[in-house]
Order: sequence, then structure tokens, then C-alpha cells
Amino acid sequence: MNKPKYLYVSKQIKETLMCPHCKNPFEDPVDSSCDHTFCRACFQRLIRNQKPCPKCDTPFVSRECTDSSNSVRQLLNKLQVYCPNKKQGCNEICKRGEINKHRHSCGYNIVHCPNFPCDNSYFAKDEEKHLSKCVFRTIKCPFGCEKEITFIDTDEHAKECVKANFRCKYCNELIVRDLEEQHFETKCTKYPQPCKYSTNGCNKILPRDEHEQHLKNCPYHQVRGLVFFSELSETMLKIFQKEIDLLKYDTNQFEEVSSLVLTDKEFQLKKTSPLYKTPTNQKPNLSGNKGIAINNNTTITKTNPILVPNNNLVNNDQEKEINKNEIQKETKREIEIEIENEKENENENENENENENENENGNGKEKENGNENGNEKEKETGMGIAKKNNDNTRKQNQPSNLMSEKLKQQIRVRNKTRAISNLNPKSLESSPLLRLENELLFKICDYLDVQHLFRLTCVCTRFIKLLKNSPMPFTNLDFSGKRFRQQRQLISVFQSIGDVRSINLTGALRNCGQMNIIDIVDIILKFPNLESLSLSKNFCSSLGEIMLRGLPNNRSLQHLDLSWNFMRNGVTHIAEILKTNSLLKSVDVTQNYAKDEGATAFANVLKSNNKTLTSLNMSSNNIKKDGAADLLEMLKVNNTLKHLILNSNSIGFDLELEIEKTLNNK
Amino acid sequence: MTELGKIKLVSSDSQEFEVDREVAAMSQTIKNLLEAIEDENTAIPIENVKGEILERVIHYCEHHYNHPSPKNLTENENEYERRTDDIEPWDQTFCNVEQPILFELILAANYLDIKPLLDVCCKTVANLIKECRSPEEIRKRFKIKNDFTKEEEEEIRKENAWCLDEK
Repeated sequence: MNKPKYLYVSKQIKETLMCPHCKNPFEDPVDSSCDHTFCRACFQRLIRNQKPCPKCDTPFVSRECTDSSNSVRQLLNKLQVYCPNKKQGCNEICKRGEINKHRHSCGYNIVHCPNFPCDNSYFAKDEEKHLSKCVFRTIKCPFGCEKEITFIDTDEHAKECVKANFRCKYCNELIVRDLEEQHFETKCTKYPQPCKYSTNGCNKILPRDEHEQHLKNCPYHQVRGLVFFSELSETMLKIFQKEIDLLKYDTNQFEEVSSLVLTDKEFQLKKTSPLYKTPTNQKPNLSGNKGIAINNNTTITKTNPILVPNNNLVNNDQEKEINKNEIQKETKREIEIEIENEKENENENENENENENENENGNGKEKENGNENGNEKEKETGMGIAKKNNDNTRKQNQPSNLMSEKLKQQIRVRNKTRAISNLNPKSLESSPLLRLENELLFKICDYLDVQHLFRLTCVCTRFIKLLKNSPMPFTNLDFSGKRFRQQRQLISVFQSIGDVRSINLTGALRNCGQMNIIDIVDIILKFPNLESLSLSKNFCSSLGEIMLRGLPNNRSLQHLDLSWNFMRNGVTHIAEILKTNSLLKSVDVTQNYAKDEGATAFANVLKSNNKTLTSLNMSSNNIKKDGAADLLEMLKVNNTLKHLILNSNSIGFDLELEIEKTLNNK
Repeated sequence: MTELGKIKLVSSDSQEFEVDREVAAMSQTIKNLLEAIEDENTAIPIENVKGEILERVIHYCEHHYNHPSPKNLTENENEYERRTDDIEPWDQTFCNVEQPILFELILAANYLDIKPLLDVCCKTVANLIKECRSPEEIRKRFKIKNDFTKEEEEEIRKENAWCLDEK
């Protein structure tokens, strides 16, 4: 029985339509002289071999035959058949007579990429998809210089194309290479230019936009009116400079004092807002606010993180009774506390412990005056106590004269460093967002994508600290598609992160030089909890060597995606890594021109050394029969590998089928 | 006396709420408490949550107790994927409140240990941040004070220029 030419849908086809020689439905049927029907090819074969008619067992009288009647042919053409590409996935079923028409347009025909030197082959239906992403496709210069270039050379071309945008090295603005000169001459705000008094002796060279600022300080500018400018003596200049410095110092002082007054006002405003207190125990620096609120409260029984905000409703009325001076005094006191905070910490903690035992209010400040503790219990008796508590507060404060003296001192301290407000960002915090504890704030940040996350670091210092010292590793940082013009930026991005579990750098390193990629990968691999890393589509051919250098020191990475990097021999380095690595669970080296050598290297490692890898993708690597055979051998021995993907290689159908079978048997 | 299968919750400002035992047990904190308490009729004080907020939280729990979301099945699709665009419409409306209330909800959800509520609130805040196109906008929206010096800010903006230019 011969192999049928078509794949018939029905298994039971009428006996009358079957050729008695090949036992398949007729193809191009003819009637013999003895009036039996055969396929034309079958009839000719019988005649050639001088065989008798298998139906009536008599030799054929004549070599002549006539075409069978149209009705038989029509019946045959109506038989339902599958597309011959069924194995490739085409599910088309049509009449036998129309199958040829379908075959020409079938989306599962295998086509080879017309772009030299791309050696991909794919289904016809995927042609458009491939051509749109084929790295060897010809495109018009995306910057508009009318040249036709190969896609993979875009970055090369960008370096020389006259129409390409690039970042100005001074102001980071996008400019067209054509207009570079013009940009420097007129527009660039950061272009370094000598001070306009350079001829007079000022040797400052400053970015353009800082000139105005500089002129305010430039001694030559201050005295520009003087006729004998050039003859102005050194000593005179020094005197002027001193004068300027003195004035500047005064202005600063004045600004600081006025900002302090402002914060006091803000503080009063905040007292009426419902979320006024920061809910936290760990930071005793809060206690300035907390203390006051709790003083007035008569109902609380326990110290608790979220307890505090709720007291405000109860307190508001009482608080309004307190006269304004007192609030201001408290505010001053708070500033003082801010500074003394560090010293008080130990004291407070001890006191707090004691207090929890007594089930009393956790108020650091009051406990400093241990003798006042008795009063605290009295508080629970009711409304009138509010005043009493205020008296307490007043007692604890130093006399007001002394207070203001201290305040002045503090202002002076403030003038010297701005650090004080940074020390306790929460104590004056007006933002409900920043009042959240680190864990909750982190939870929110973890939902952000990288762009928004790093935008937060420009908002205030709290976020910078949060990124660096996050309570947990970030779940995922996805930089795919982000292009970094200056590599310093990408390096500092990773330096500002504490820890992260998954990083996706798909295409993000494409403009990086090799050296930079080495640095970046080094930093990344040092994250103690990094589990997944994608370096896909960076066209970095030396990635194999880089990984071989860095990966052995990593103790956490489980998933590694190195696809689309055209590493060629570098793939063998990845196999080398697997010899000693027992953490990696999945590796993707799609589209790397690994060829048979790469496949064999992986096969050898997985055969003997590595017992942990469960998934390997080597699609589009130009692997031929030899490499695939090695991989098949390996599969028979290796028990851990569950997924091996070898799409778009020239392996041949038989081997492919056998590999699939071996995998399924596991 | 409370009805059978119901318990009484008391907010910090002494408002009382009667809730199904099962509904209240969506809060891990209350669930643990219930296991510790023998007397069914004891009113449970929720000292850290105001009545206004507790009412919302109970509303949330009741809705989700009656309409359990089928999401758990698909949740582990990709363990590294952190989506914020998958908030159910009901939750979206629920979280569409003034900022102070939203943040109090976060604190309450954290204290009461109701993970889905905490997640959905955090996602909402994350979306609020995502809507801002610049650090200034974020500061304005969340009333955050800029605590950089001029030089520091310039430095940090230069370093982060890549995430500042586009939307």
C-alpha cells in the first residue's frame, strides 16, 4: 500500500472510490479495457510491470485506457482532506479539488527570510511579523537623512548621521547634529563660557545659565562703574569681597529666621488637619507632637501605632481652648526637641518600656519629669484636666526667657546646617503620604514602574533613603525599552537601589559600551536577592564573557534571559557557567548564532555536570542535525530538564519529533 | 445581646457596628482576636480606627464576602509582574475618596491585616503617583515639602534626567 497523497478527513471512504492497486482513493482515475478503474499512475505501473488486472486477474488486453467519467471525478473532488501542512499546525479542511488552491496561500508554508544575511525561516503567515522585526531589514534612516540602512546598523548610523538627535553633553537636551554649532553658540544653557569680565581679570568659566548668578558675586561686576577698573588695587577688591560676604551672611540669616516663623504657622494649621500625627512608635522624634495630643486626651489606654491620629476629633475642641501663645510655646519646644532628640532617645526608650507596663500613655517628654507621673493618672478623670495638663506642659518647659534664648541658639545652629529639618522629616510633615511608615510607603512604591519610581527620588530625600534602604527587596524593575544616553545614569540608578528580585533590561543597554555593560552587570549581580535577570536584545556579543566573569559570584539568580545578543561563541561560556552553577533554573539564549558548537556545549554540561536547569531555550540559533543529536542524547540521560525549545533551527522534522517525544516521556 | 453569628465592633470614637462573624474574620487581626475570645457577646474594641473609617472597611468586607473575586486563580501568572491597572470597578469607586481618607484606609487595612484592601489602596496611591508628570506635580498633589538644596536638586535631576523628560 502506498502512502496516500492527501490526508483524508474521513477514515471510511466508499469502496467504489478506492483504487484496487494502491488502496487509496483514486487520483486522476482511468478506466482500463476490462472496465476497471485505477489511478493513472497505478495503471501505468501495472502495465510496465506486466501485471494482470488485480480485479479480474486477467492480463490487460490493451495498454489503452480512457479517462473515467466526470461523475467519478466530481465525487473524488468532493472528498474532505486536510491541508498537507497539518503537522505544522494548519487546521484547514477543504475539498480535494480545491486543496491546491489552498496550498499556495497556506500560512504554514515555510519561507526563508529574504534579507541577507538573516538565515531565519518561518511560516508564511508569520512573514510580516518577522520582516517587521528582522534585524537585517532595510529601513529608511529614522532620523530623516534619506539614506537606506540595515536595521541592526541603526546605532552605528546614529553616530554619523547628520540628522540624528543626540544629547548635548552640557545641557542634556536633544539636538540635531547639523545644528550642534548653532546650539552651542546660542541656545545651550550649560555651554561653558568665560565670564564677560574675563578681559578684566575674572578667570571664571561657567555654564551660560549660571552667568547671571555669578555676576551677583563677581567682584569685577560689582565695581563695573569704576573708571579705573583695571587699576583697582588688590586690597580694594578684597574689601569689597568681604563686604559682599558679610551682606550675604546677613541675608541668609534673615531668610532662615523667616522660614522658621513660616514653619510655626504651618504647624498651627496642621494641628487642625485630621491626619496630623505620624503613626509610629519607632521614631521617638515624633514625641513632640504626640505628647501634646495625648496630654489632652482622656480616653486612650494603650500606646499603638495608629492610635494617635484618631484622638484629634476628641481633642480638637479642647485644643481650641488652649490659647495661641501656648501653642507657639509648644512649637518652640518642639524645635528644641528636634535637636536634643538624639540625646533623649535612650532615656525615652527606657521610660516608654516602664510606661507600657503601667498601661499608660507612651509619652516620652512627660516621663523626663518623672515626678509628674502622678498627674498622668489623674488625667483620666475628665474635661477640666486639659488645662491642668497644659500647666504641666508649661512647667516642663523652661521659663520663657530662657526658652527664647535657646531658640536663638537653635536658629544659629540652623544657619550653619540645614541638616536639622532633614533629621526629622516627619515631625513637621504635612504630607499624608510621607506620614506612612516605611513598610507601607515601600508597598506603594513597589507598585510603580521604574520611571515613576525614580521620579520620586527627585521629590524629596525620604524617597532616596527608601530606595536605598527598602524594608524588602523591590519585586521588579523593568527597564525594557528605556534608552540611556549617558551610562553614568544607569550605573547610578542601580547604585541607588538597595535590593531587587527581578530586573528586566531588554534593549536598555543597546547604546552602552562594553566596559559600561561590565560595570552594570557587576553591580546588578551583587544584589543579594536577585532571582531573575533579562539582558535580552542588547546586541552585546561579549555578554557571554561578561557573565562568565560575574555570575559565579552570585548566589541567587534563577532565571537568565540572554536572547537576541548575537553572542556566537559566547554561548559556550554560558554552558561553562552551568558546570558549577546549581541555582539557575531557566536560561534563554534565543537568537545568538550558537550553532552546533553551542548546542553541543550545552548538551555536554547538562549530560554530566548540571542537575538543576529545568528550562532551556535555544531557538533561532542555526543549530543543525549534529547539535540536535547531541541534545537528544543528553535528554535521554538528564532528568531535570523539563523544557527544551529549539524552534526555527534547521534540525529536521524527525529529530524534532524525537526530541519532543523524549521530553514528553519525562 | 448580639444576633447569632454576629459580633460587635467598637471604633475608637465609641461607635458600635454589628457585623457577621465571617465578614469580620476577613481581617486577620479580628480573626485572631475571635479565636482568643471565648464569650461570643463581647464587643471588640478597634481602638485604632475611627468610626467613619471602620464603616468603610466593613462595607468593603461585606461586599467582597458576598462577591468573592475569582482573581486568585490567575494571580500567580508571573510572580514578578506588579500591575496597578487591574483594580475591579467596584474597588475603584470604593477608593475614589479624598486623600486623608484613603491614607487612613491604608493604616486601618494594615492594622486590621486585610491584605486585599491594603493592596487595592496601595495600588490606588501608586496610580495617583503615576498620573503626575513631574516631581513638582507629585509634591503638589501630596503636599510634600522639597527638602533639597538647590545644588542637590540640580544634581539629582541631572542624574535622573532619563525619567523626567517624557510622560
